Amino acid sequence: MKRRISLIISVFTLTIMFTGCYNYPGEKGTAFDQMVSISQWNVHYDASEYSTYYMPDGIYIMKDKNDKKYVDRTESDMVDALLLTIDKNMSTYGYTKVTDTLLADLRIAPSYIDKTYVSAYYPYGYYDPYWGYYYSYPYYTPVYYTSYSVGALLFEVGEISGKDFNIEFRGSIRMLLGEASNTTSQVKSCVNECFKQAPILNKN
Amino acid sequence: MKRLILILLITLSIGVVKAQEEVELKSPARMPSNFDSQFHSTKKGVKQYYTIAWSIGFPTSDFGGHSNVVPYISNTSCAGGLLAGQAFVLDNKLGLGVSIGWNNFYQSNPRTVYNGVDGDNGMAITGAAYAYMSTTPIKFLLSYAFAPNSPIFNPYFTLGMGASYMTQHLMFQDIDVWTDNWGFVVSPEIGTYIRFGKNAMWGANIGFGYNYCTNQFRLTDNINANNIQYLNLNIGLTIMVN
Repeated sequence: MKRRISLIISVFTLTIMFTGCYNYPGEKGTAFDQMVSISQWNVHYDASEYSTYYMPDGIYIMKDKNDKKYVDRTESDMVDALLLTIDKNMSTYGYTKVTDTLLADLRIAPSYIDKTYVSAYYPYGYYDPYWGYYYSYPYYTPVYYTSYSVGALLFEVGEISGKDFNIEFRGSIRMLLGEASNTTSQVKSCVNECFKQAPILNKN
Repeated sequence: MKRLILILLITLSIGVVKAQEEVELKSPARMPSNFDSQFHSTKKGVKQYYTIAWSIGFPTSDFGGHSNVVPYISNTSCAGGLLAGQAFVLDNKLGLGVSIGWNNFYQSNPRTVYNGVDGDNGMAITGAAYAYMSTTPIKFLLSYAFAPNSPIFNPYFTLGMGASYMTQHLMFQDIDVWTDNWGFVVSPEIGTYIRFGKNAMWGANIGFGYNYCTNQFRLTDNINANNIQYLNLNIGLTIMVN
């Protein structure tokens, strides 16, 4: 009996020594607590050089390189809310929306990418559903992407130069997979956070 | 002949003393109360202490964060351990040894804006973060034992110096912003060994120490530090051998 008690105490102590009482990301909190708003931008971006932008009326939802689906804003309240919020923020920052891609200084590419696609192709470069394959500008960051069950809602602001899409700003929202987990208002809040974090976009 | 008798006497006396030691050690109940101190005071040689301990870490600040604005870690950590070995010389008063320890600090922080995530490049993150920092100090130990021949308690003071390896993480879902670094560590500690019975080989060890590490790191604009300081409470098991 004494030996068994000693064994239990030893195992318990060793467990605490090595692991403590950890919580890991995604283990607790509400769906909104699990959402992360990330902004990345070109520090040499000069807002005074750009005044118009074009954005499509829908987003691509990509599960992997060969499985992508275009969802129009009329088909999904979530997509509509996302595009409306991007428009509102761009307008607040002093940009004008145009419907002709050739007249636009900037183009916005919104998309939803699931974890498989993210881990395989992001952030080194990936196939863009609008303008073909391109490499984004390099990020020399201490940031690494691991494999959790989350998706990424991306909206990238950039300009076309030949076959390249030069990204000036990337808003990225990490969210739990499955649209039911994230409400429209939460997505709107995160889009607003992405713009707020990057005052460099502001023309005013 | 005289020489032969002398050799026999010496051999016998050594044998008697050895036998007496063995009998006395096997039957401690028969020992006189002051036998242990007499025995140890005349015993020459090195006594070795090997300790395995559970280490609880207490941050003295927010480890480079700003608790009220952009918090990092200020929570006590129960995830830690220590392995130490020391040899005591000079009547078992002076100890020399080495130790390796680890403490894993963590804290779940509420949704906060983290600016300057990528240094000179433009990057900011808003989210609930899981903050995590691990420390691994590897130290040379210099100890002074206040009562090395005491049958039960042996309080001590230790000064540890060495290298400290640390990793700092800020995790947002699948994104891990992290860095690692080496530094120099100085850690004074007071504590005591408590034998499980008079002259028992096994005992407990309780120590309380302060760690000053020169590790420098930067995770974001508001989470960075030029040094790391924390306190330790070590509770462990020690085997004391000659």
